[in-house]
Amino acid sequence: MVLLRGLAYRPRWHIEDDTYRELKEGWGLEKQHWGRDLAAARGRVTLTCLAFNTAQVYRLQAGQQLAAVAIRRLRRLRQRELGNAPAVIYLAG
Amino acid sequence: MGGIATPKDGKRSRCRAILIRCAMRLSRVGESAWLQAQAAGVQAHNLRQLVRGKVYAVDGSGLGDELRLVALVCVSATRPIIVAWRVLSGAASEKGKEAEVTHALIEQVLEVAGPDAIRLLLADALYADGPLLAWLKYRQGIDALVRLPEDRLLYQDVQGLADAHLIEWTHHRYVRTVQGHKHIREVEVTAAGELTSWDGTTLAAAAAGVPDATLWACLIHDVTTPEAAQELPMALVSTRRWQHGFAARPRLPPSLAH
Repeated sequence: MVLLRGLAYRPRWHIEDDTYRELKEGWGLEKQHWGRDLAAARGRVTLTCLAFNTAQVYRLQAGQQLAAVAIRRLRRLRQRELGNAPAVIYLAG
Repeated sequence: MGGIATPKDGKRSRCRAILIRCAMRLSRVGESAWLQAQAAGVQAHNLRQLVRGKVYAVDGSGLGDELRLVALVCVSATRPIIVAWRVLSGAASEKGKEAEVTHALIEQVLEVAGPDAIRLLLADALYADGPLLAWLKYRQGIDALVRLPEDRLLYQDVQGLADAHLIEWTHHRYVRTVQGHKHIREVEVTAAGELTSWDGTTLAAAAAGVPDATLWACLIHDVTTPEAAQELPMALVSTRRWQHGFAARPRLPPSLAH
């Protein structure tokens, strides 16, 4: 257990080194706001954080096992749970 | 936002359709919709047990001059996962206001992941907020380990106890790796428990029905070099008692490596 191994405060640096630094330098969160207002910034941050999490998960052992499954098999495995793949339709205007 | 896709030939398709017309411009999407997306996205990871461990950290960071992002991150595993976040602007984005947002972030995670999801919260000195620590410990059952600013009475109390030799310093050597190179680091550590000189915490704890709340704090003095030894010891405060101060020691960022 990390708490008992004498490194209790050390994981806090994950949030500085591996999260904010990654979001700003890797995902461009600070330079590219996608808009000037707060609402656009909220959208930008939410989409980026969700994408960041997805990338992180795929780098975990459990995620790598998932990534090794081809898309057709993955669809078969998850179809009962998630239903048919949705069609995403963009309507202009 | 949802419906059934209808192709041009008029046949009803069996697949679900996700209409994202209202998202053509991000600024048209309300805050509640983004919060919903946030919770749903994180819950998907929770359901698949991809957010593991009960140690979390909270921190804020500026996004340009006017915006600030405050995030609660699961830091238990090797890959941090962001489990809740808020974008702040205007006066709310000023440094030091983040402790107020922490309540909402913690509650959001507990609601999604269960009341026992968080065991320990790590935070820097901006979150050294007495009522926040009491709320975490006595309302939510979450221990906190937070950097204690040097200007706090509690810091001076621990320093006074050490100066009067009422608590002892212990010397520790350990190896740390900075950019692949091993360095020996030497620190002196002292700690004290049963501290009651932080009114913000003890009063809030009393209001929560715990009249005898106490805190634990430690001083960590880097003595690797004479220059480092000139600096004031850094302090950590916690709502739980650690075996000794060395158990709570931080990792210094590479920029502070000597």
